[in-house]
Amino acid sequence: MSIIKGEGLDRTDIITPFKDISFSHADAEQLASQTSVMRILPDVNVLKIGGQSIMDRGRSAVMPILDELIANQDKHKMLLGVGGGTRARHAYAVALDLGMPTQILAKLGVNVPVQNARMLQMLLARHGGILIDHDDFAKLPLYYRLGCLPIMPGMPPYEYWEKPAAVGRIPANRTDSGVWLTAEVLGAKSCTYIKDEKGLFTTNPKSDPNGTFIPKIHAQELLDMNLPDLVIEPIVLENLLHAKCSKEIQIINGTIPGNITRALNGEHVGTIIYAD
Amino acid sequence: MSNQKELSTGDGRVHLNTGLRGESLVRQRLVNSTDTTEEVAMVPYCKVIGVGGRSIVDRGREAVLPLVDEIVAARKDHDLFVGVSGGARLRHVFHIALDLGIPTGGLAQLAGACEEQNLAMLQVLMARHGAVHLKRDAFAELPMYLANGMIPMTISVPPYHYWEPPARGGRVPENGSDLGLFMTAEALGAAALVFIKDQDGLYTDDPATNPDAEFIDRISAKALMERDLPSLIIDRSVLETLQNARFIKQLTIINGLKRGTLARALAGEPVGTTIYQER
Repeated sequence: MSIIKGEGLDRTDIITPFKDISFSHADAEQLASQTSVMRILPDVNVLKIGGQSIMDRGRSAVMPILDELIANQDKHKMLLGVGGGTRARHAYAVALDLGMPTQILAKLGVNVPVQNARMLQMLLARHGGILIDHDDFAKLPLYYRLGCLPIMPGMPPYEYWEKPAAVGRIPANRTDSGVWLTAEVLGAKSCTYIKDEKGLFTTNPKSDPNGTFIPKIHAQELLDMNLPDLVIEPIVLENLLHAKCSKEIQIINGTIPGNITRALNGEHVGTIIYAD
Repeated sequence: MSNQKELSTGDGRVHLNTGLRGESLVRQRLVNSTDTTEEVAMVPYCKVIGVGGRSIVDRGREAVLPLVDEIVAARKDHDLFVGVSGGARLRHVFHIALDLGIPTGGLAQLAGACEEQNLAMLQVLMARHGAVHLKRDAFAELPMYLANGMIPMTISVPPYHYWEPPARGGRVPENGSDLGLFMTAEALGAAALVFIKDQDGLYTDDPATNPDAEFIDRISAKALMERDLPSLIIDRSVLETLQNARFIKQLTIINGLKRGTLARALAGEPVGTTIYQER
């Protein structure tokens, strides 16, 4: 590869196969498909601790879950992501009332998961719990070498760059999305959502107990069902369809002792959503 | 409000009593209820312009210096926010990274560095005219710079970093500089968005390689996506997002190598190609 010095209005260029193609061009995609993707941290298990479903329940739900995570620390490398919960909903409600656009809601959505992550870090500090933010990912290998348990706020760093939805103003990418994208880029071993329901039902079990439990389903099939409510942000399903590494997620009920351990061991204890 | 009204328990969770209390934010009816035509624009008087890395900066002084003069001159009549993109070095690092098997999120993490370099140079060229580097999301400082007649500048690529969603085909991030600048303008609720490139605007194919390519002066994002052209001067993700935008209902692509086009575009004259929302 070489540099071509441009005279006058000519570009100073670098000769690469990309030189004359635009990134939206099919050639660029073809070029990308020639090499297989590498996994950055393939032995890490990414787990999300729900905001409304776990954190807002306080010690009765949180403490046993942390005990179970600590008990698994020697056997499994883990990265914890944390959701927001009712305070995020409160901030969204006020912001919606004030006429705030999606991008501002996405920015407000960051702060509450940070609070939750800070609380978890304090609770887990004696077991190596450390708070990491978006810039700390390159240090993860060190943290694992030191036996740390990294905890991150689940919200992706989109904020002002969160795209508007066709209808409504709730940001599409919230903590479920951020946690899955983390698992995808790391090429993680697993991606598990610790919530307070067994998994996915055809209705929201909090408001309609007559729904049917779905133990395992393809992401496309679930999208096609067009359910009025979902246990996970729909954008996770759309992204799953294009996953290069993290092609399966499991949603489990973390309030039942043993479920987290079994999920970490690769057992099917909740709902598995997958893509080919 | 008493504490009793603010907080509620009873299902094992502590809720704050709001319209979204205990809600699944996924429920379609709830999502629809948040729609409004009354969204607040942050700096609706600001106009966002993007300087192309490959199309302008890589061409060196003969392309950059006259354009810098035009931007400085335009600042007298308009509140401007300037974005800068990457260019040849970005393509090069993506090529190496793809060859190494780096995932999409890893590629996205690399993009900003090339833009930072181009921004550093442009900021130096315009510093005497009040150009300042606005760090990523410090949009809350923009009113201060604009009120003082300065020229705030930023890199364009969105800060999705490791969280860049997997591409629908291949591994090149779909959310590049064009999309980042579009979202910057949308988040600001800006008055206009102008992409400064090195072609007169949009053609039916790349005019550099196909002399039969026809110029398109005005087209809707919807129609443009349906045409599925072999080469596009702007990222497809911008067209998709434009369709859902609340504030940026159209964007303009102009030739920054032709003198006077920037002033005309900022004045709202028909110049270059205008792509608009059609829902």
